[in-house]
Amino acid sequence: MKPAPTLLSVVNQVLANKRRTAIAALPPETRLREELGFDSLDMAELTVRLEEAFGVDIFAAGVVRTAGEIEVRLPAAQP
Amino acid sequence: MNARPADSDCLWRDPLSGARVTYGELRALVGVGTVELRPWLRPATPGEAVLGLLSALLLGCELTLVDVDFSEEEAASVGATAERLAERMRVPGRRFEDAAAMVAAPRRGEGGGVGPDGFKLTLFTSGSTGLPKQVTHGLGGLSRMVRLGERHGADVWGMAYNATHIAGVQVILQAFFNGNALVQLFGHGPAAVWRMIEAEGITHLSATPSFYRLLLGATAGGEDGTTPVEARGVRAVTLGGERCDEGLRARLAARFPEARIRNVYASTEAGSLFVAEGEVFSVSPELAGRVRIVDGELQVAADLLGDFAGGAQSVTDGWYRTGDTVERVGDEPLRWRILSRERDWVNVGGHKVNPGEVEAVLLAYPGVIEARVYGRVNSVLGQILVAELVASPVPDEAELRAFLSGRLQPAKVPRLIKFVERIARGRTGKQSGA
Repeated sequence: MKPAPTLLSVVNQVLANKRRTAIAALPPETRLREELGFDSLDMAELTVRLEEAFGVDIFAAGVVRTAGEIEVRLPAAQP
Repeated sequence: MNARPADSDCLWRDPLSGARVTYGELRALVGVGTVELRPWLRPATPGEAVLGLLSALLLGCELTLVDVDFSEEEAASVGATAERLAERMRVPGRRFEDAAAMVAAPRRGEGGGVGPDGFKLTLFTSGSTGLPKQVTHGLGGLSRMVRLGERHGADVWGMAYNATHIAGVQVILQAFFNGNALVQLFGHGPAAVWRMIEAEGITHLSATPSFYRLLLGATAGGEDGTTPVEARGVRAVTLGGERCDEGLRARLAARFPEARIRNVYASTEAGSLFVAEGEVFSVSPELAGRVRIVDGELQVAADLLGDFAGGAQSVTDGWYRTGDTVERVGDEPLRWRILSRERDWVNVGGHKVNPGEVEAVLLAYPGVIEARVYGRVNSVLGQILVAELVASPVPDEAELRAFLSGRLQPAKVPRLIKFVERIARGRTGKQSGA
């Protein structure tokens, strides 16, 4: 079975599509644009992939900048 | 088989199931005193569609042909209820001296073939709204592209369209009027189709670009050595429906070296209208002045359309707006190249993307057999580009992305790429928009 997707795994998928190396950890204060170099196309891809994985549109309630702001909008991880 | 078919000559056959219909069977069917016809037909087999269509034509009756792709609910939504499909209409039969006289009758206007009270065919098209639209054609619109003559007497047609779609109906009429045989290909896999092209002596093929891509995807020589490297018996290859790229034409020319390759511009609304050899379409003399290009959009005179229930949409001042974006190549006769067909452009964060352009690049990648590109609503950019691909072997996604990035602007590179078994299609056989 495939491991359940996490915010980190989805971010790494977007990075892989940009031919960038994966990151090992994603602290809540990480700024996606400035620190990970996400442009608006990358942000759009991230929202679609998160929507597919979690059923939530992270931008529906306004702009997000950091990993932590995304994390609180995702459903809590299953124990 | 010749221009004067005999009763024993085959009209339609499916070599895989062994089912067949002869010219004699059709003659016997319509030749009795009173014939029971079904005004609404949802055929169980393509052979039933052939018999139902040609009986209605020969007896001058109206027929509604219900798309076999419809679900029960869709069929009911267009009025094809169980009661209606069970209806029978009793009409006087018509005796023909022989099969050749039968084939010639509708052309001479006998058998009610052309009169206002005569033969009419109603079909359904998937409209841009997703609701099936009903369109009714007379023989004139349906047979506009039919070519008659001695040189067509020995043609053998591959039936590569759904028999309840307008393109399938046109192939049936082309074959019938020339006394030809139809060989069922639609619904069969590429290896079987290649075998039948050789074994059944097929000379003419008419199909969508997707059908040909699937066919060309079958390895030359084949796993069991039965797929021919080239099929020299095929003299004509016609493409219709979707945009055809030059790469596909070149690959078709290699496998069908003796064939004349043509594109046909057709729609359920108007039937077949224009033909191109290469990418450039031109207006035939009989349609001169009834086609125009306004702001890059192809428009045709509304009287070329069939009759729509509730009137045709997209008609302004007698001109039907096709929604197809074209580039004018020349005048007198008017000539143009199709840039994109009736499908909405996708707006990706302000960049207008033509899905057809992206599909063409995807189809140039090794292993990709079919591609569908569409927009998906996105809260960041408005729309995001998604690609669905049928590929064998399935390519490495990172390598495919690198290939795309080298050829397309960033907004035109699909952000989601899905590999699928088959691509969802609209009822016209064209790939449906999102």
